[in-house]
Amino acid sequence: MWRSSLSLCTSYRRNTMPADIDNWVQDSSAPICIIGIGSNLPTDSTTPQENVERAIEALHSLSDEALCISSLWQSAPIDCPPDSPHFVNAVVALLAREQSAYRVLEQLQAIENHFGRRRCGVVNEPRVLDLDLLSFAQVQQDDPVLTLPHPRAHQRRFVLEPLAEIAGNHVLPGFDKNIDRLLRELDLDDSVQKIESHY
Amino acid sequence: MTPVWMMRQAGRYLPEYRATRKQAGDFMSLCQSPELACEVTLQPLRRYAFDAAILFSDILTIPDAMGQGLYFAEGEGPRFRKVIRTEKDVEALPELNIAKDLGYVTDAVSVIRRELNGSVPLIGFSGSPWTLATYMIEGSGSKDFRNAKAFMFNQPQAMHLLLDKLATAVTDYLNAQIEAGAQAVQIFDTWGGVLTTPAYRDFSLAYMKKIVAGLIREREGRKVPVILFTKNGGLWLEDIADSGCDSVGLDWTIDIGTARQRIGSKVSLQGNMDPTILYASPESIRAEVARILESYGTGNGHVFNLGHGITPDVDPANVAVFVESVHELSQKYHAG
Repeated sequence: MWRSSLSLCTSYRRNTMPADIDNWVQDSSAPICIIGIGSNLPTDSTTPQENVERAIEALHSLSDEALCISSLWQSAPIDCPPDSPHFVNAVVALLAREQSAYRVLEQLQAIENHFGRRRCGVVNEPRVLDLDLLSFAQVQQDDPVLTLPHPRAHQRRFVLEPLAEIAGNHVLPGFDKNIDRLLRELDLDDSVQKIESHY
Repeated sequence: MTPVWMMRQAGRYLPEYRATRKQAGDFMSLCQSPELACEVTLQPLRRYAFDAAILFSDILTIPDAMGQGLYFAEGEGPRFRKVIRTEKDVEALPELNIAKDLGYVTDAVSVIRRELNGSVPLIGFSGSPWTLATYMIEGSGSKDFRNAKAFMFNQPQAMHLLLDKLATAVTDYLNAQIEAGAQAVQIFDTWGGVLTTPAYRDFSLAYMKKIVAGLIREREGRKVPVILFTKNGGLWLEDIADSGCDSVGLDWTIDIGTARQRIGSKVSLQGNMDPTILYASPESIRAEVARILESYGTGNGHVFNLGHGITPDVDPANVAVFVESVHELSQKYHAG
């Protein structure tokens, strides 16, 4: 079953059937991590879409296994300074090599910093790359450094749409509804659009 | 490379700090705004390759939260509107609820930690009970601490009660900083060095020990190092190293190589350049950095720092010389 889901993951990268993380057998001791990716600023040489694609490449370093990767989606900025550019978003699920959510957070921060994320203290400022740890195994915690599952993940279409592609049946820790249902019941009036990409 | 940071690295020597402070209006408003405290904490990291961020705050936030009324007269040091002179005054001091009374500090820690995004660790801090007590009794800084010492000698029980209350508050305060995201904490005992040896042991170190024993020592799956710094504490290094702390801060009066021989097997060392050397020429700063690195010798366990906070009118260019010299000249002590 594990192997078959692997092949699904790989085939999905060629834009065929999405793999679903519920196919991942649970006898692996590697914790399932779900990571949200967003970019709405270009770098000197890359567009936001390329930033997201490169971030997905970089996320391979967190896992020994193939990743489950959603399509790329475009979304309008929410709670951002006026005139913020549109976001490109995606969601990746992976079996983490690290057993600690904090270590995974550090790995994500290192990737963000490598992409030259510039922090200037403005909340929700435009960003080259934003990697959010949405959930880590069955961990539920409320901590100033890392809250799991991510407190706003279930309210955002730009998270739920891509997440539903790879984990529609998945239930986030502490929730009683799966992703498909959360998406259906989302009443926020925001729109997201799938982007053609080689992923 | 030897890591480097600097006490009071977010401070008045930086023009951008002075601009933010002006924006805030006064020093306490700056401390009490998590966003502005975050901004000034990050300012030195934008200029220099420091290996840690140090929370911007003041050591006297605890007495202020206890109702002593901290204020800063223009051009002078800190002052309190109320002073402690009797046992009754001590008994009347309230027990603090950190989340409520000092939430502005833990909020700043969370904001800074988020903005740092893992680039460098964040160090929190507090004044030591003895140091806080001196300001609460004197009502300001002091040359000879006549009121604080008289209180200690004449009313030792009341003094112990005060220090015990402060130790509880400092423990809760530092734990709240750790829970909010501080990855190491430092206890500043600026005035422990004015005491006699037995008085230092009983009225300063004993309470720092109590704090260390009550601190969260592991968080996020990592050790949370505790640094003790007693200015002029060179006489008592062994006792300080036995307190349970992980690291000892040194002022510039002791040779760091000697300190390493005495306590280097037990704790790491932080220090210890005379901050006044930052007024000297770039060549002199470099030479002094080289001397301290040479004195410490090869291997880990040394965090380069000043022996006390940087002073306000240092040229920021000299700080760049300092930080770059540490990183460049320390490489040969870490080879292989």
